[in-house]
Amino acid sequence: MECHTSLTLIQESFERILSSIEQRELDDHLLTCKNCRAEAVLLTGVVNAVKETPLEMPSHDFTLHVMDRLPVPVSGFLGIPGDVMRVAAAAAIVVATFLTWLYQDSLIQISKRIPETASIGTDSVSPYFAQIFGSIYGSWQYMATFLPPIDMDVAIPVLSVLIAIGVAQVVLRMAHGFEPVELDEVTS
Amino acid sequence: MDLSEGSRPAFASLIERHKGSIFSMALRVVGNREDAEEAAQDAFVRAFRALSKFRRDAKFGTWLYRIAMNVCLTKARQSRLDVTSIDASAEDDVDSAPLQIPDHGDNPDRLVERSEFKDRVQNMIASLPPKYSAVLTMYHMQDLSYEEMSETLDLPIGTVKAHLFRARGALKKLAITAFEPQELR
Ligand SMILES: [Zn+2]
Repeated sequence: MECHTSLTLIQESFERILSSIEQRELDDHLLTCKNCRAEAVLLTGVVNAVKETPLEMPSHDFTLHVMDRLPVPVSGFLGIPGDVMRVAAAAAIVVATFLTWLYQDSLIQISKRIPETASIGTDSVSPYFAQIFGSIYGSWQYMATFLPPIDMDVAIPVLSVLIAIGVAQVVLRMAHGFEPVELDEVTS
Repeated sequence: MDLSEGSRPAFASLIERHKGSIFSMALRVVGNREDAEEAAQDAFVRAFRALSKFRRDAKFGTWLYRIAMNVCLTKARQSRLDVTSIDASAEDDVDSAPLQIPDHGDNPDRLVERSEFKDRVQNMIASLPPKYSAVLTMYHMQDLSYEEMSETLDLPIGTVKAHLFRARGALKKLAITAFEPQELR
């Protein structure tokens, strides 16, 4: 047997049982070839060392660390699945924007009437609120004199979008059980 | 155990069951405890996120192992980018003529059977090219079949066998250079 064949068989003996003929020929070669014998001993030692490599354990708080890193589950709200709540949030954005735009005149009227109500308030509880509201409104009016006049054509769409974002946020928070929202997609 | 809805307590017990084998493999492939711990954590987090893609007829351990091996190989390649010379030297001449190894065949106190030799060889696994440490770990430590290794590494079975052959040769070569000639006698 050539040394090259012998070395190949030594390697293969770690993966399969050699046939009786192969084994006999290899044994005969190893008896006479010092180099192949040394190779066989060393390779066997190396493979045994690999096989006997002890199982290593990670740090004791490994599991806790992994659990901390897992994405927040989409829990749903009142039995409604999280995915449904996400769709609802998207729908809420559209509806809230539309309603704000539709009732823009009423909204402007309401916003104008609030300071009037605040200054008029005469019952036993409201004077405190009226005073607080009146002073805030007074400060606002004072500051407003330094600002350019508000263009309602611009303010209404901006207000619509802000209200829509607010509504969508509430819906999403409900879907996630008021935990931080992590829109982390499931990937491989 | 219901994993379909990403049940956390169920997943925690899976981590407990598999963390030893995953961390051991990571340690042999990436080479140090800190990186191995990070790689093993990454593997579990990825597995959790991909739970919906896990086929119920598959073996969870094999599936997890595949994810972990990919994470570890990527990490090992990144951390060894600046030491490609190790790759090159370990791959050189593995199949060429046999090295002149001192014959210690009849020595009753063979070095290769001493714990010192085993410890050093075990620590050398991580200095092999990642693909070699991967196949050695999978085949000789975790008893995976060629088919499982082929699936895990996404390589043909023939390539897996060739890697295994070369990996043993490369580790043997490292072992020879790590010991003084008189130590091997
Ligand atoms: Zn020979």
